[in-house]
Amino acid sequence: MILEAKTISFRYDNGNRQILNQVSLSVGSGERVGLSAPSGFGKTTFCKILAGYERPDAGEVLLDGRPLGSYGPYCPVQMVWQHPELSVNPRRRMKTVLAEGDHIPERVIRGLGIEKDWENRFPGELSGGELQRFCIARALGERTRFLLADEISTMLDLITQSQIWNFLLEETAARGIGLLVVSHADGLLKQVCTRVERLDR
Amino acid sequence: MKIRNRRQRMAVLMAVSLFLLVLVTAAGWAFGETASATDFSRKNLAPCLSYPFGTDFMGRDMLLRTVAGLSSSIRLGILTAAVSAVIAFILGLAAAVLGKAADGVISGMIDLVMGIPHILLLILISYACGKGFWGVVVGISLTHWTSLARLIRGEVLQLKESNYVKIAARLGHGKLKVAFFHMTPHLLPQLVTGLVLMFPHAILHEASITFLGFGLPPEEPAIGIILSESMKYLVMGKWWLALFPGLLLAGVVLLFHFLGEGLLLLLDPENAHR
Repeated sequence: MILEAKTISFRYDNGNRQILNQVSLSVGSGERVGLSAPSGFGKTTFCKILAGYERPDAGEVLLDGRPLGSYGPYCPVQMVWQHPELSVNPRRRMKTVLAEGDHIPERVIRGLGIEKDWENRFPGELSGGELQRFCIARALGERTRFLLADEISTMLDLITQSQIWNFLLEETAARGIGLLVVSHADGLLKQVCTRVERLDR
Repeated sequence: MKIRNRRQRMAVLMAVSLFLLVLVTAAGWAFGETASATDFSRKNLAPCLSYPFGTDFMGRDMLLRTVAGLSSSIRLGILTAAVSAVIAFILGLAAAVLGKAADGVISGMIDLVMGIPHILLLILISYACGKGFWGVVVGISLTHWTSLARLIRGEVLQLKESNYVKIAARLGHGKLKVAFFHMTPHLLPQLVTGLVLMFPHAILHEASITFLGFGLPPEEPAIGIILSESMKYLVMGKWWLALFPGLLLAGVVLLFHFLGEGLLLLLDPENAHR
């Protein structure tokens, strides 16, 4: 499968600054593309458009040549957000986060180092890094074909980072999931990705 | 059972206050007939051993009358608070979830009901429904859902913008499912507080329209009627006619308040492990 962004332009309703101007990118299954740009260049916005959270003002997102919106209620392109504490409902236990995903295999949950007893806790009782593992697991449902990782490991220590990335590389390779990695850390991108793209204004 | 933590202690206390409220309600139901029995040989007795709350100008036992009055007030309060909270919840959620057109209609309805003075609308509805218990229930329920509905609509609009609701949508969960699983846990505390605050409001409204002659029939032992009747006798030094019913009414309101607070404590995950 191939995920393509074609000449995408975007500006938010409230701001008057053009965030994305004619940006194009394509990611194939099994490919791991790095995306790097300074702050405020629209990396997160670009991910949101690719995963269907926002509609571009111009241009389109295609998955195997079909518009992304034409795929069923479950979006095959899943995004993991930069802030895990905002991505889970503070009033629901962590096991519901896993249940929300599309049949998350036990292998993924264990592979990400999620401990059994965390599942009965509320988000306020876990650290950011621990929450982020749940968010990654939730995005790795059965029907996920592409994973957008928006600064998913910035809040983690190096050992945990390597644990999570090793698992992700293994899992995405085994399932043929395409990966788009957004990060400031060029070292990480060099290590993880098959190619690195820069987002220009 | 051994009590291990604050949550369990709270649960026990809540059970006790619930039991008290049920007891009063049931007692009032059972003694309803005896409560309105008049006996002119025992007119205007001050509190004594056989009549702890005294008797009134028609020789009715004030203890029984108070309990019967509280009972009907509790039933009316619960019913109206529950009905208007449900209306508020459904309309508030619908306004925020169903889209712009529905939001416009429901917001318009809220403004309309809020724009007409409460008491006027209440009298009209109650009168149209044939007065009495059900007239009052329908009247109060239909006039008191507005502020809670507005509160819930605002909260839902805010929740709609949160990341986890947007993520749930991308994970293929429908609007109803998101409303039920993601939004309801945030709305419950608002709803419970609204319900508890509605209760004293409902009783006071019941008393006021009953006083104006559009509510419960005067022979019914309602707290509102007892209090307004006692006004005439207070200046004659018959303090017990107002004191005990008033105190007990305050007590019942406090019990409801305590129940509401307790529920809030139990519902909040911040306190899950206390």
